[in-house]
Amino acid sequence: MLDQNTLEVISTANSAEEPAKAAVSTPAEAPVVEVDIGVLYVDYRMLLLSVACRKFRIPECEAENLIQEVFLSYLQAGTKIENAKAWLVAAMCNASRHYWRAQGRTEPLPDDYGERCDPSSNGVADREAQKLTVHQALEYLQPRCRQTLYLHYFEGRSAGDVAREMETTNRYAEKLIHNCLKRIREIYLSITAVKR
Amino acid sequence: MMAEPHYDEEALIALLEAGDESLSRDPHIATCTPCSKTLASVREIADCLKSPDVWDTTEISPDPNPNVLAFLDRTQTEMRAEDAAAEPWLRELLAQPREAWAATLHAHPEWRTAGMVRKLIAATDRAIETMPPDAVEITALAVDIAEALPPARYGESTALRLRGHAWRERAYALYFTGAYNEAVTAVERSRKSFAECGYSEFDDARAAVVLALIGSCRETYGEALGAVHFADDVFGSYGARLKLVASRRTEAIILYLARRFRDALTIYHDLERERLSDEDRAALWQNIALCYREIGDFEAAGRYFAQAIQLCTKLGMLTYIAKTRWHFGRVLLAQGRHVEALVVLRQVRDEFTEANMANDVAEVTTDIAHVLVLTGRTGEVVDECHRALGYFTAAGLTTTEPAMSAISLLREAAAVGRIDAFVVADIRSKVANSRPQLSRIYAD
Repeated sequence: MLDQNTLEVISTANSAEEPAKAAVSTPAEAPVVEVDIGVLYVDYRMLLLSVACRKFRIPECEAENLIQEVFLSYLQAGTKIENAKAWLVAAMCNASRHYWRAQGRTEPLPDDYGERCDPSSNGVADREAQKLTVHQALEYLQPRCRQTLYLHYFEGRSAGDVAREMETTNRYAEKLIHNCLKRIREIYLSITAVKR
Repeated sequence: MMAEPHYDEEALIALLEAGDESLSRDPHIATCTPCSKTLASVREIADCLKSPDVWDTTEISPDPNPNVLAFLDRTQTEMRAEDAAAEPWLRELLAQPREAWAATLHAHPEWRTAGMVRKLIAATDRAIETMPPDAVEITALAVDIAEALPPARYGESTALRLRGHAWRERAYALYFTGAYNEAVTAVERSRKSFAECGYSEFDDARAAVVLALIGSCRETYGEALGAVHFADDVFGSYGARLKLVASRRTEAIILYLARRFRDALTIYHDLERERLSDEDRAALWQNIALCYREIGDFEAAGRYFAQAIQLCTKLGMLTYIAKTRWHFGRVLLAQGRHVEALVVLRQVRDEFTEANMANDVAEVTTDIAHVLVLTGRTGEVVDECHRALGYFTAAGLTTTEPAMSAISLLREAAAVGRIDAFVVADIRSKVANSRPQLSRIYAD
């Protein structure tokens, strides 16, 4: 068979260049005109602040500055943004890392800097939103229930350990773990239902 | 028979607590969608509770910061006003001959705004398809303005970001016109600006795709793949599905060029599951077919070519159909289905003639000659060559002289009975090499 790879690549360039062009081109109808940036800011501020303050341990006043930069970059992206929430959360993670890199030049980074957020994984925005909602749901729980969940899920303690810590029986501690998880899920669902 | 009852939430929590082994042994969970959905939701909450973030007691003020809100509103308003002001300036500028653009801009210092940079970038996008040298010049103006934007007026990050956008657009225009070395310099300038800005990961990923495109043409495949993998990751995390599809397609093209056909196929088959426009799907199927042809799976190649042709026909993409049919004809030839190959290739030749695609007429003529030689019908080669030469003469084509010479040579070889598959292959290479490369024609 005669070889004409080079030629074929040119002929397939119709299909290669179009998508590549889509990735680099900057259509005239940028999001600037379409989106009211103030509304977006109000909608996503808590989520972005939670990412910066809780995940990256950035002080709130600094985090607000970063949010401003993130929205500025959103305004100036010059291309259609398909998923505003995912875009903003990923940009916030990037801005937070940039913040610590800059801080790292003058003071030590947090010990667990390397473990903070994996921006390359998909769905990070949804997970962050979910954590924010669980954080909120915890505030509605009874202290005893909150402590049970903290001991068992966050500290990874067994039902027996939880029972000793809370001065109760193993069986009751198990029941408590189950009931508290069920309860927080109820609260979580009621919060998300309201949001919808 | 009674339906098996669903687990209640407590039973599901107990199962979750009992561990993955118990769950995997449970026959009901595996088959019951509602129960597995509830279980997934319970598990998500339980996983969240393991994260330090949800236990963090740092107080966050729930009220929007009025200063930030006012700043963003003001910035957006100013951007809109600047963009609106730049519209008539751009029209006035582009109404002049290209050679006068730089001088006109020089005479209007008030045009040197961020809005004008954005409008010029948008104009590049339109010009690149119709008049690439215009696009190159427009990006030079955009870069010129962007480089001098005062950070005191726009802020450091805005000035850097716009500079990065302008250089990226310039890199793409230079790449498009075949000026690869200059394109590399431009894309490096773009990425440097984005890096200095620090809040431009997404913008940088778009520049990385341009670098990948340039690398694919300069045959620096390793660098190109590195760039496009970075872009894939960023687009994925920013939820930019369309851009991710585009960068994955770029990656597949690079793999194809690097002759890693199976790796390219893996990506193409992934992309088949994506939502695509009909045009994109037709192109995807053609590329899949080409990969299969390269690895010698002619049956799969034929199937994908046929699908692409069917879709192109539905969409009325006539020249595209002819090109795809041509590839299909060569697959038939490779499969030894000579009679069918000859019918298809002759049809393609007629379509190229109709569309005035001279180089393609010459090249497909050599394919027809190849079939005729393989089937022992060398006498017909002379007629085929006559037909092609007649077309060239009637069309008054001068740019195809090397192709014409090659076809004349083929005719002579056939006429004196000194034609075989090797001679045809050699002449075919001559025709293919005489073809002006699209991306180089604007370079000088």
